[in-house]
Amino acid sequence: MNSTLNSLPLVSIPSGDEALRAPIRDFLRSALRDVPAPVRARTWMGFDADFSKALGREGWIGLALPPEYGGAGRSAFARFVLVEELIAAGAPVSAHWFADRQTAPLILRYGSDAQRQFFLPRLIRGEIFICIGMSEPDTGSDLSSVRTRAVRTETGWRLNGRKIWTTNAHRAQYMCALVRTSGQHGDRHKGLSQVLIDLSLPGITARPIRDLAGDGHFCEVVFEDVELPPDALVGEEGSGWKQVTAELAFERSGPERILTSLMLAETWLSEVKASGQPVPDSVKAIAGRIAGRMAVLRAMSLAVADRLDKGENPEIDASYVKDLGTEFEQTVPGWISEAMEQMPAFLPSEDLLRAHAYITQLAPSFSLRGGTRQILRGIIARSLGLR
Amino acid sequence: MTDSLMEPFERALADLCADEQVRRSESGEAADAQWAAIDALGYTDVLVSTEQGGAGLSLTDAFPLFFAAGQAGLSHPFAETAIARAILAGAGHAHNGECIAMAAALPQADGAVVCREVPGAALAQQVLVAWRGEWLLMPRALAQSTPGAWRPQASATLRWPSAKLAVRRLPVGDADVVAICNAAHAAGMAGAMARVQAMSIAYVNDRQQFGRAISQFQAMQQELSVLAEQASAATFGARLGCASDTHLPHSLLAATAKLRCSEAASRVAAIAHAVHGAIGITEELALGLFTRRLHEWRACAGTEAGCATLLGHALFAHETGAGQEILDFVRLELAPAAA
Repeated sequence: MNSTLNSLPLVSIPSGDEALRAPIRDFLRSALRDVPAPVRARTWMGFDADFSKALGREGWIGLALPPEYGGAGRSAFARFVLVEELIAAGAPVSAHWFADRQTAPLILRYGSDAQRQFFLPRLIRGEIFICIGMSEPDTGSDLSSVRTRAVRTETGWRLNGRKIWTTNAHRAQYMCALVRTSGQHGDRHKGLSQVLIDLSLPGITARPIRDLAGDGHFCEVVFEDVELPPDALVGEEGSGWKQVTAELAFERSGPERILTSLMLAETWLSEVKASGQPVPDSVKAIAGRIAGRMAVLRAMSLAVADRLDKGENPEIDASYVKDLGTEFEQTVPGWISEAMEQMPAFLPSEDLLRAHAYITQLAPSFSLRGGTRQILRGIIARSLGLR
Repeated sequence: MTDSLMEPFERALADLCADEQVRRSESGEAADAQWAAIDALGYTDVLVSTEQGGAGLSLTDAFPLFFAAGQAGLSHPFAETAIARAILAGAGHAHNGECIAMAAALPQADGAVVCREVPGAALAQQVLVAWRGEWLLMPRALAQSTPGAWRPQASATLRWPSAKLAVRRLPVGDADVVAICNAAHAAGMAGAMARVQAMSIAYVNDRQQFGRAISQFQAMQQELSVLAEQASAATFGARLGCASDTHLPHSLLAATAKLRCSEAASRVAAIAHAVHGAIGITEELALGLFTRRLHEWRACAGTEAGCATLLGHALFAHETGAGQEILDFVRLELAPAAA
């Protein structure tokens, strides 16, 4: 019988980390004062280099990175508080977001000392932004089928190929890319490596592809005989697959996998309260469902943060958080529609309607990025002994 | 609750709750003897204070026991008995090993005490009823009993003509009977869902179609992953419902737990039956014993709509003025208190 004691225990955020919340919230209140709801609805797809730099000045990029590289050396819980506040407020964090979450821990763990000394302090100050190149035109869920290839030369590597759906490639200075460095297409995860590419090098073109809301954040990037220095390689040649897999655990379980639609719900709630309209129980019940569902997801995400903080890799629990969390995020806009339909006398602002329209349309992407729902469920099925 | 305390309990439960025995107690057969054996394990008094002869554990500590009882399929209201005993012991009441169901009384004009659809009531010797601000400890044998809709021989609607039949009366005080039932039932539901998950996985690995185990089909894998995710969320929710330093749950946490477990239960039951096919609909397979319990729990005490409305009222009343009302409500009111 599988005892419940095997499941992760509930954990609370230590008070020292919780103390970060007030200063972060004060900062965000003033920084985002004039940003309307439809813009804030973009949150971790929203790009604002000045905002990221200001966050860096406050010491809130690389919060969990060691002080020797300029980080704050704080715990996963401190980072949890920071992320929770940033996403709930709808802060435009995408400039530094992906590198802060994934690439910085990757460089810290697998990078050379020179790479750590170069990248981490600049990243932490918000001076450089790094995008993440994984998908290719023929490589989506089947990530190990990447064709972009770096071939050793006398001076380093020569890179040829194509990445697609790379967020912010047109405005980042570097890309951390998964590429083939040995073997053939079809060798699966063998022969893959990660390289850090200076996007100002000759032979690179990045073209934004507009999304269905008209925003240009993801790009197609073409590499034509790009000459990379030898130290572009991160970690070991041929270990790219293992490194990427470890990186994805950070990608799957954070509060941003729960809270992407929260800003919409918060805006709706504050407008309903301010309207002075009588609120039927059925509408309160919708608000109650949002809060209840979120509370359990938050407990799960915190439990995973605790394990990550202890240096473990709770891959399956992280997959649970992401699939359930994105399902919640995708459910919220429908619940808000239902709540608004049940209060015909309540007139939502144009901003609320636009934020709602935006989240509703972009919601399908929540369970695509970083591994689709079906792929995650396949990973879970394997852990259940079904594959 | 440590592993060394849990293991003997889980082992004993597994012995006492073989499918055949659960079927017998669900039909009311030898239920008293089964309860006596469960009570003799010595875990039913864990919430009673040490001064009163118990183990003095908190609800947080006792959660794994309640979960294990649900997972084993125990027919009796184990968690309710444990909480009722702690309440009664606090008032100096000594028990005689009775199994105790718990319920709120419906408002009645004539002074009768009526409790509808009480899980496990037909198997209990007593029912601790919240009635007009009082706890009434009612002997079940003196009630007019109507068989439960889900479990006709195990659960019941009970009617006592008068509160005077109580063997003990005490003020309800801070206790909230619906919150207690929500926390207790959510823990049992999470346990039952873990069992349904294990049964479903075993079945799809065993059952062959098209020349291979049906677990090899992606359609099955995707469905069972959803089941496992729901069961996992339910366990977290149920743990949250029992997060308390005392023997009593917090109302909002208990409502969160019951809401989440109920949401999960309908999906878990539907998926489990879908993957089992026709055999899952038979009396012969134990699956139905567990999914029936899940449906009964969903329907009693705090329902999904009831719990969601309770949470919604509290959310609308909660005002920090700090701009993130939902986040603040969730982190301040729906999280276990920081250690």
